[in-house]
Amino acid sequence: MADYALMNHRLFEGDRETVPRMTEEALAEGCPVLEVLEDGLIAGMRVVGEDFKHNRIFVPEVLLAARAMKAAMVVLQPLLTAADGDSSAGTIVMGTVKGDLHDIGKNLVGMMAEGAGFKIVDLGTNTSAEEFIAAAREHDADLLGMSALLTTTMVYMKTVIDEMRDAGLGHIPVCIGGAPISQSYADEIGASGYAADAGSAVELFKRLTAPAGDSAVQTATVGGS
Amino acid sequence: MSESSLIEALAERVLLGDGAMGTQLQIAGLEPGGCGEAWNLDQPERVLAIQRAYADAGSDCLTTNTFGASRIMLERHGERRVREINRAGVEIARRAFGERPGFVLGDIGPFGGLLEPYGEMPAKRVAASFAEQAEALVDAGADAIIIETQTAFEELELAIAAARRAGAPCVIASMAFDMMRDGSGVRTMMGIAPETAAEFMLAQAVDVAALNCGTGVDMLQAADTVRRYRSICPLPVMAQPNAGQPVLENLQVVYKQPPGEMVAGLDELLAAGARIVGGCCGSTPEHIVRFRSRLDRRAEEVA
Repeated sequence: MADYALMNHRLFEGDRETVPRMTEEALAEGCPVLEVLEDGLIAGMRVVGEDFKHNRIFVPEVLLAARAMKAAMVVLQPLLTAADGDSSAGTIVMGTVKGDLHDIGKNLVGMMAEGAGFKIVDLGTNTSAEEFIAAAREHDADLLGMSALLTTTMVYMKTVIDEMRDAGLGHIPVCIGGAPISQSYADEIGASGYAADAGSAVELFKRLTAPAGDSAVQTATVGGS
Repeated sequence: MSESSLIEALAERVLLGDGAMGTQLQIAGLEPGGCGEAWNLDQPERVLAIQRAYADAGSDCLTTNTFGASRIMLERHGERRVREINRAGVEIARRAFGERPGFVLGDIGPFGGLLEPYGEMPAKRVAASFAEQAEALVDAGADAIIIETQTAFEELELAIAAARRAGAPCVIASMAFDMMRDGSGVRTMMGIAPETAAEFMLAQAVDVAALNCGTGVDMLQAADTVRRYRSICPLPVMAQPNAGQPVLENLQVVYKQPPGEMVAGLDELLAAGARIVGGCCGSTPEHIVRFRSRLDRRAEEVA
């Protein structure tokens, strides 16, 4: 029987050797792939996200945990793809907007979202509206995420949202974040949501991608905070 | 290295730094995301005009336009003229002072990524990048190296070592603190509280412990942070807060605290013990003019 509590703990500590090894062991013992993912990894990352949100831990600890998660996902990914094409929580296309080369925050959100089971298509930095739109189409995105650190580049988020709508992709929720971003800015430019930190961003993604009437996700979100 | 004249001057009086460079470059026509440091070579007269405005406003210290001029940062713009850009940065600042005495602070900003094990950048590459930049700045005659907007000790330590090895006459280490949303005070992005930062700077034996920029940190919060530094370490402190809290205007977040309002917090910053004061994002030559006149009036009051 896999010790998921211990696995969660090692994940929280960012132990990049032990977490993938325990993942392999759990699979070797016959634990279902999705159970290992949910109970062993995602549950651990949920605690990381909560503690980060409440300033009990900071960016370094989150990064280490996310990297441990990533190392374990290398083990799980081929099995997930083979077992069930629809195992992901949804596909998120994300990038830092045009003119902006800052990606620490965006990467952190991406890693946390991966930790919650989302498939992430990362377009990197300096991303144009055309690139966002092409990727959203190509990957059939369930959600689009944009990041900006500069007050001069954040205005481009509105351009992307407008062009998405013009391209007939207005149904895809758009979430934005970054140091100068606020909820009121998100409201003004017509973004679907804003989150102040990576943990809250993941909750927002879950809320916006949950099928209508999926109260389980809502409950989990509320229960975790 | 003999005692630097900057350190001597600091012991005698409060020095005035300058205001923002990045936002001024954008006003001068730099495109968002463009490489402002390349202007040291390609549009030197525009950089000079900004720094001359600060010198005319009464700055004792001008920070070079080299914040993003480490090799790692420049390469993100496909720019390879590392030494030339840094050398020109020092020369332009020196030229901006004209006949006036003044100190040129050679600026080193963050390399813009995450070091191993938090990210994938090897410390060796960052160390080499900082070493190259620090050497170019010191060789060009910078009076100090200022390492700005730092959020992590690992990176700051590499930059301090690079500055020292380059023979910097004075090393200023400046961290960026953000206001925590839960009201628990300020910390850097990487979770460092001011007291911990002050302990680190003392252990590293930098010449000046500094703070700059930061989300939600205005003059009064900066003053509080200076106090927290001073409760731990006796080093001279430098503070360059943003021009107030950002506000949303025309779909853009801007720092637009008027000079008169920002200078109202200056007494508090000085009372907290700051020895070099200046401004970060959103501050302009006009802010520095007001800082200068307040500093001069205080000096007269004491005399």
